[in-house]
Amino acid sequence: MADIDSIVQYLLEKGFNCQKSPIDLFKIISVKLTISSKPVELIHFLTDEITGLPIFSLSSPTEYGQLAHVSINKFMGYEFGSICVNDRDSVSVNFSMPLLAIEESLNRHIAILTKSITDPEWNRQELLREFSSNWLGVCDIKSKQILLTSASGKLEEVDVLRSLANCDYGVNSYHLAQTKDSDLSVIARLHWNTNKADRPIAGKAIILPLIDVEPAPLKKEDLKCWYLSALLNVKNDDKKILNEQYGRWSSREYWIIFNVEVPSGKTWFCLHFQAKQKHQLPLTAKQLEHWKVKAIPLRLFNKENVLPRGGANLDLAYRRVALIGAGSVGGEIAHKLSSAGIQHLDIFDSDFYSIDNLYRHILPEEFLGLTKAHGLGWQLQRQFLWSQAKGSRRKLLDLRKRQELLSYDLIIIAIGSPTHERLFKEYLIENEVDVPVINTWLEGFGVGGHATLDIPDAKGCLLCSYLCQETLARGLNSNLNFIEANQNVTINLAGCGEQFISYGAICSAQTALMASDLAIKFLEEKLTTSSKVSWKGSDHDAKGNNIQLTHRYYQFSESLQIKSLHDKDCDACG
Amino acid sequence: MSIQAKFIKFHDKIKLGREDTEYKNAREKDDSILKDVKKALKEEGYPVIEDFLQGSQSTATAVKHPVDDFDIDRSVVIAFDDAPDDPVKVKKIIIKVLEDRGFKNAKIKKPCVTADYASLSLHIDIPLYREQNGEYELAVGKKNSKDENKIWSSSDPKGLRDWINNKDDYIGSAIDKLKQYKRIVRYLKRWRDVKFSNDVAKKVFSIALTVMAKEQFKPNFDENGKASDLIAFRDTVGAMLNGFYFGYQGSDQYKVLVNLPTSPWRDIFDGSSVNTGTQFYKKLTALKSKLDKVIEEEDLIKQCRLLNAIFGDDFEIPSSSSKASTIAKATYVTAGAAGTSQGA
Repeated sequence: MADIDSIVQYLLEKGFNCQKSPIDLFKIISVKLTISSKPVELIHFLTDEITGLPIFSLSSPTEYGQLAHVSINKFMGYEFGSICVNDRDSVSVNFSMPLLAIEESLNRHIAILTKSITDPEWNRQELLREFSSNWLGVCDIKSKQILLTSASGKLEEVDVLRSLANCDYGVNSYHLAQTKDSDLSVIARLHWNTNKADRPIAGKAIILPLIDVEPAPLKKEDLKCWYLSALLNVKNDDKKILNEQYGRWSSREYWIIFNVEVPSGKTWFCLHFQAKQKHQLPLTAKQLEHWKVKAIPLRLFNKENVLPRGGANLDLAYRRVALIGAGSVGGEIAHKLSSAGIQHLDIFDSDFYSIDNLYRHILPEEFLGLTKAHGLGWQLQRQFLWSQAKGSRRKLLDLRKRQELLSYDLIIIAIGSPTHERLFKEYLIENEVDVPVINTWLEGFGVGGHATLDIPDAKGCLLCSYLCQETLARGLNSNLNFIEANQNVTINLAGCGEQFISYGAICSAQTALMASDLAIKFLEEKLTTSSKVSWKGSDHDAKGNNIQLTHRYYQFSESLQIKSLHDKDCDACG
Repeated sequence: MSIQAKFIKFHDKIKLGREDTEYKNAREKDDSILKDVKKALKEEGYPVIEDFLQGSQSTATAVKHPVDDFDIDRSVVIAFDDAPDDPVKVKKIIIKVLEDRGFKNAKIKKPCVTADYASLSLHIDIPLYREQNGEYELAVGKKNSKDENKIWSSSDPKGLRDWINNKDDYIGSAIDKLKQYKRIVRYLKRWRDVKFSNDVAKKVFSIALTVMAKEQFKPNFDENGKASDLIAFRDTVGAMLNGFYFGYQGSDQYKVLVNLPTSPWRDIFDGSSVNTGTQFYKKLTALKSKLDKVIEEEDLIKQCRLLNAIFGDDFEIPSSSSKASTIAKATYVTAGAAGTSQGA
């Protein structure tokens, strides 16, 4: 790291009015400049090592009013404005050239300050866009955070259930505000002790939509004033209800949970009111005198908020998917589809979860002895709160019921049984069941995995992938396979009925990811043609077991790329 | 429907397997003749210790000839210690069996005993060997050969068969590649039978085509493992032309030389005429050029027309490219794939 004199000298040479602290004890430099006739001073505390973009703080920030991307902090009685020039973690800094890094950072700080000071409209829009972040600046972070399950945001009264004592993590560690329109009530009763005997009511809350909003206040002391101005932005109809209905309450504690549209979308925030005695909900400056007001952290806990933030797609919520096979591949598929936002997932598998499954299956040991399908359904509902996944012990061939099959948008088969899969396909053809089907399987020894998407009435079907490449008639094993047919690839540890194919959880997960991707792309209508996709792994273990691999294995170089499934020699769709 | 499907259909038409119904009579005669040969040799003190098929039936490269008879190449083996010094002595016992059964044109040729069945389209060749410790010697000599030309000649009939059937050099779907090679041998044989006059065709030996194709085989499968016999055939023919089998004799004339890849390593075309070599070279060159045109052509019907001109009417020209001509459903090749590799 350069010494302070070198930095000052360098910045002076670059035309900045720079000086170091007169007290040698403090390694501080100051840069003075003028923006729009206003004097501005930026302070930089030298660090021993540059680990991120060097920080400059604004002296006396309150003199400039509210500035976008500037938050006010206090240090040893002095106020400094922290200037947000970037997501610090996303900037790669040239730490071996500290002078350049400091100069670059200084220029970025000046640029953003200049924009905020000289363009008031831009400044206001940015303050509104970052309302949520700025609100956090005045929040009392020591207060219990509230989880709100509201979906609509309309004016309504909500009970706030107290967090569980001695509970430091999980939903039970938050206050829970559950609205009447919430679709989480079943889960809430099951997992979050919403029985009022377990979680007593902490107080009353009102959800109050605003039609407009001023930027978040800079200081906690400004909250009361800000609240009164916010009341001016309540719709007349809501104002009437507020006065006539909720204004007559009498309590020592209230929460008002606001929501309003800002340039970055709908934002939610919360004020907490506390008084020594019971009073009416404060709606005027006079009434407010009795109350202590705090901004407290609020987390919206509805699917419209949680799913997109996690990368899920709300549009998939109402698509119905049947998953046949809840083994290591099927389990991963179920998980990935649920995480993508599929809520109506019916899982079929007759197998019971056993100790043999523990190391390549997604389920934990607590499900031992339960059917895999039911275990998965239960697990998915717990993890993905809006999931309605459910299990069934029926097998693929038991599902040959036309009307039932027609109720699905997609059928995914992950059973690794080519005979049953072909029989099922025959049924679909003969009974004109025009539901798209994904078949997926993996191969032993980590050589790879495959998935096909068969869209009825499109060119390409499952049978295209069973076309014998030699005779061009239907074959018995998939032509996508990397392991040649008619080899014994099973391992037998305990006699007949105990054979298994050697592959690990990583292979299962890779295959499932690929099949899930195909499913989601289809359901999102990004994929409209019958398709196939494979991943190829190492042949190390196959060679070690003298397993012969196919020509396709050696030629294949397009792992995870989605290709057309159609083969023009297929008798079914050619 | 793809051009490959047309090739498969053509191959199904021309291939001749020992279990094919067309071959039923010949197979029955073969079994019956073998029984008589064994009995006669045993009575004369030369019990047969082994018999095996030789030639195209043993390597699954046999084709139906458009006109000519079926061939049977049935080798019989006697013990080294039982064998007389004069190999023709034993061959005379065999020819007598054939003559007694009404064969016509029965002859003792240099490498074998040969005859045509009178009432069937059947031609039979019976090479005779003696064997000791896995080493075979072929009975060489005609009926009236001088003593010095009647010899037991070192030979490796099984080595040749194994060399043709060997797939160890093929990486990935080796069986499919071996099968593609054998289809190409059959295409070459049918091309020869259609494109050469009968006299010359007989001199463009099947074993020579088989050896040349094996040595120069260029398998072709797309990245998904689907075979293209058309490209493999074109590439193999091209490699055969460039494989130093044809020696230029001046004046646009050629001699052909192809050595057996196993003992006794002789030139299959030993004593062959310049005319045979020249015709072989020129027709092979024309074949390559026509196959190039087929590959360039995109229309399936036009492709089939060109191939029909190469192979004759067994290569069908479809009336349209419609789905109606797609291969029939579910003609499964085996009852079950033992040990599929699939899991989930």
